[in-house]
Amino acid sequence: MLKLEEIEKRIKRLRPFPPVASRMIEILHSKEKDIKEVVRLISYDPAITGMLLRICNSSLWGRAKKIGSVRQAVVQLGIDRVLNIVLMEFSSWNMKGSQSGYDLKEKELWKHSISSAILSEQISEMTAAEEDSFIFTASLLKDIGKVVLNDLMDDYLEKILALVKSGDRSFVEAEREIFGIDHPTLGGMVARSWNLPSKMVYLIENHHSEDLSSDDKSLSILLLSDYICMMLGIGVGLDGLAYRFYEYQLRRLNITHKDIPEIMLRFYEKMGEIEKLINLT
Amino acid sequence: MELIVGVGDMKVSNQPEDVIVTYSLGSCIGVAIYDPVAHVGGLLHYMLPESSLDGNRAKRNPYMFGDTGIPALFKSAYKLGAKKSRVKVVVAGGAQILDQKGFFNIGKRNYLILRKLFWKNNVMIDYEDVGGTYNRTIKMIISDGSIWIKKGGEEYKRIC
Repeated sequence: MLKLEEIEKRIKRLRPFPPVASRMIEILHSKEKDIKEVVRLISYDPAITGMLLRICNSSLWGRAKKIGSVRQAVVQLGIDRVLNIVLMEFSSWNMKGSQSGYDLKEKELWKHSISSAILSEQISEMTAAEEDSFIFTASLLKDIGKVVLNDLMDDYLEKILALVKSGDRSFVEAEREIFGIDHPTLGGMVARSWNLPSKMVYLIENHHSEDLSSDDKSLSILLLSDYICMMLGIGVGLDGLAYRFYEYQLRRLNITHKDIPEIMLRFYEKMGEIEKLINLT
Repeated sequence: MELIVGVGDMKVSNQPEDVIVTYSLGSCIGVAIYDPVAHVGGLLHYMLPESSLDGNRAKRNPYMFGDTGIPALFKSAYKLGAKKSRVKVVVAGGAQILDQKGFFNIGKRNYLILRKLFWKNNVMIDYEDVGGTYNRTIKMIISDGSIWIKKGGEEYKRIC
């Protein structure tokens, strides 16, 4: 069992979101969005600006007309999308490295994060769910708890895998049994310690929960995108597909199992671009 | 040379220096075939069972689907001199999410289409490692025809 002090110490070792990212998240959350402030915040950092323009001009989000400035990016893609693209850079800081405890090589967890974020957008559009400006970044960060647990995995792996192999535990349930905490809960603690908005904390913390009390479609979208990435083998480690899915989560989105292949096929078209995107971030 | 087979992809080779590998099969299925006389090997990684899900996509890329990808794999190997009577066949993948009602049973359906096709065409499977919640990697070394499977966090194991 992990002690609280040990967990807190590990969370402090992560590279937190910088103040500029916190401000961007506040803007995402607010109803009144000041385009000038967004342009100023991004333009302040030439590296971020360069990254944004490269990504905006990739065919995932690109338009026929080349985007040459931050202002043009904001006008053409919208404030929310631009902020989410910029937040990718800050999210990548902790997620890009190898997570050998989970048998994930460098960039594999990051590939899973980006893929599920893009898939979340696709499913949101498909299900006409109310726009949730946090779902993209929550998808990127949802597995940050794995980064916290990573170097402990080696010592406890045998026990965890034995529980999963016994057939009646999911990987999250086994983590909880061995560590006294699971990676989604830890992710929620990280998000709280970085003062991320409560909605984002909720999505990260519950990304393997059934949560019957909520009618939040964003959580279902996040879960579905995560599981489709697992089925496609994107950034899957030794935890494999040992996660539970609940019927209620699909019903909340008004989709059936028959829709899953179509979602996979549409996403397949984007996989090549996502490979390129990983190298741009 | 390492030939990487992506999702919805296939590679064949008769070059002794080649190693064909497909990483991280989730619910997708990997089919590896090798003719030890012609020294020809092929590896397919398909993601969905039937091309009827999207005929146009299947025409553009038959390797996305089991019912179009499997015949295409065998035909490509035959072109390099492989014979059906000699090929050894290895199948891996088809994992599933822990899902009480089978909404995500694509792994199982991927496996069923393969069994159906093999049964119709008298193809025997020499080794299979299918189902469960593990992701798997298949590697084939053309020079000696050895086929290796990596399952979950385990090391590669030579299976034939």
